[in-house]
Amino acid sequence: MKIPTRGWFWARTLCWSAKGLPLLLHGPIGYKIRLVECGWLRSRTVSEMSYLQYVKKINEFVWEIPAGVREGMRVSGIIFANRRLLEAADRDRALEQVVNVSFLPGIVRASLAMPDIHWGYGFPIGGVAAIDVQEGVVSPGGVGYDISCGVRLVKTNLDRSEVAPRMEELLANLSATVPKGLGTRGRLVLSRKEIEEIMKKGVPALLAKGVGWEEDLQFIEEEGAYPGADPSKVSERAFQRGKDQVGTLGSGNHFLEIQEVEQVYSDKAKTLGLFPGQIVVMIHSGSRGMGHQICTDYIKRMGEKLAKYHIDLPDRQLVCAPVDSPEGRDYMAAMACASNFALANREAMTQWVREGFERVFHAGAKKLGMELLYDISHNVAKLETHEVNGKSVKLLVHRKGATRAFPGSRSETPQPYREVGQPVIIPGDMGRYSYVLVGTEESLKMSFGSTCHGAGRTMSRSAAKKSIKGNELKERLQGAGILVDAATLSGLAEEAPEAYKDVSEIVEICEGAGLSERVARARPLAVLKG
Amino acid sequence: METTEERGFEFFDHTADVGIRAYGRDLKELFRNASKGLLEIFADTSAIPREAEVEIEVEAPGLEELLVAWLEELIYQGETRGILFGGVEVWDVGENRVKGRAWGAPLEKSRELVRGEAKAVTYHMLQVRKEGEFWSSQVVVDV
Repeated sequence: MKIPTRGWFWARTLCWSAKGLPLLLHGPIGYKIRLVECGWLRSRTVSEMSYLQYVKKINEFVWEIPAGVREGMRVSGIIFANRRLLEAADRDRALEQVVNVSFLPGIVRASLAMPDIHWGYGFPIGGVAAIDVQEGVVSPGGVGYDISCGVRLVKTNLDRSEVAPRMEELLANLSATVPKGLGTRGRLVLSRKEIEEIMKKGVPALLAKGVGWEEDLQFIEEEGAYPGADPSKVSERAFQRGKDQVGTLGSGNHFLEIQEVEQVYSDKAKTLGLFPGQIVVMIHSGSRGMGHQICTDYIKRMGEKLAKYHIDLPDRQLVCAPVDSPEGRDYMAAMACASNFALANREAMTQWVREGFERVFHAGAKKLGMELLYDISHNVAKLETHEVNGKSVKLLVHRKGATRAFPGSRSETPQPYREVGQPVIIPGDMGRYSYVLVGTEESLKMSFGSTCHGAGRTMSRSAAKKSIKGNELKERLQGAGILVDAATLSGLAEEAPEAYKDVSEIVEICEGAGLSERVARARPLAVLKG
Repeated sequence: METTEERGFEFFDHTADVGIRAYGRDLKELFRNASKGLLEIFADTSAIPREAEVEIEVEAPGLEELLVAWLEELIYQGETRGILFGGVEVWDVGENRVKGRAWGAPLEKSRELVRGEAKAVTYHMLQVRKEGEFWSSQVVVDV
């Protein structure tokens, strides 16, 4: 059965009246939308339509929305999840977004969603779309506003007993040296030429300024420099927004955490240099104002050209342009600049972290074993070669809130990790734990080498703020042995542990589905919140 | 607490981000209320003194795009000038052009008022329409 793209859908929907009373309404969706417009219903609870009835179970962790379900779908939708998360994604309207992504020209095999899927705009968060570069498109929305937002993990050779007595001092030190929150400026004084060098060459340009370690490069994706970056494709507005932000954490869900490795799952941890009780530092940040402005600029520019390329999309936020078009090429060059900016941003903060540890422990960062385990982005589109129907094909793999998880056999995996696979760093929430995973051979076959990127939200920001007070949360976390330093208390409340799914469930599904394998779990001891 | 009618805008839930629905008797009021919603994401605007001003004029191909462009300009001006805006004046809105002024205080002097940050304005669920006497708009911002 085909469902029309537009029209009035007959559906049973659980709604809430304007006074907050639950109502089970049976009837066409259009009439419920009408009730919302008249103020009889609250809009947020009216879902467009449920896709659950069309979902086919492939196995316990893999579900398919067949390509025929809606007119215009070029491929099917594949969701990696258990039944509970699948149903949650449907209520969240994220399944509809999986279907929408399947409309993109050139999409290969399927529109994919990782287990941490939730409602985004255009793409779902947790969405992966591999697109044939010969005949397909690049979509800035499939990368996201925070281009190359990602995570890195810095190791130490210290264990908890050595760090615990100094934790307050350490956190205060990092808080004073890592700029966080709205509108903070980086500590580096950089000329326009130096910023453009960073946009063009990434981390190596920062090393030339004496910031960062040469040996970090092999443990950063693309060895710290995305190819094809051209600062002339970045607007002056994007440059202006980013120019003072190299080495700043930012706000929202960005953080810096001092963690303790509390469990290792296999010998692979040894190869990655992880051991139980070890202190590690996790940094989550992105390309700051520059990435947001580049995405904004190109969504606007491509939106004006959709008709020229005869592209018809179910959601305006999915705007795209052929990879091989002036708009597509320019976006790719600008995206690479933002990616380089993000990598340099995280490298600069790593420098501040190493210096903070040096001050507190009166020893050099190298002596403290503060090597980079890995740096990986979870909002980016990458040119990769994959096998499709027995042929090797060049694809542009969009990962929007999803992480590359390559096995050791791929040349992209750093040499020292070829035996175990490429590390994947999964931040959880600030009250529970985060994970280190590695990629697998199966993930190449099933998800173009992709896995989840985090826990995924279960509560909206406003709901979290309504039910949780920032200062109470801070006290509660401190009671549980987690020190917190936050830019704002309301920002802290929005990021409360209970606003997120349990990341353990997510990584277990990823492992069950074969997308990645758990290596270690770390729990937070101190949190610096942007 | 003020009602939606008094404030002229309300937030609606979006899992990872924030939606703003605004109302107005005319487009000027609609743009002013949508701006208020955006600025309330940044800070408690009622406490921000008027110490700095920026004149803003943007153009766009249609009314919906114009609202996005106007809100984006507020984010851009605030970020690059280091101003925490407390409000806007909207002087003139046409189908393709809006002119006005945003006012506020230097961010460094008002940091204790900061709540959060809006980083981009999306086209997701974007709507500007007139229903009877009233204009309403809906926009989702990335935070």
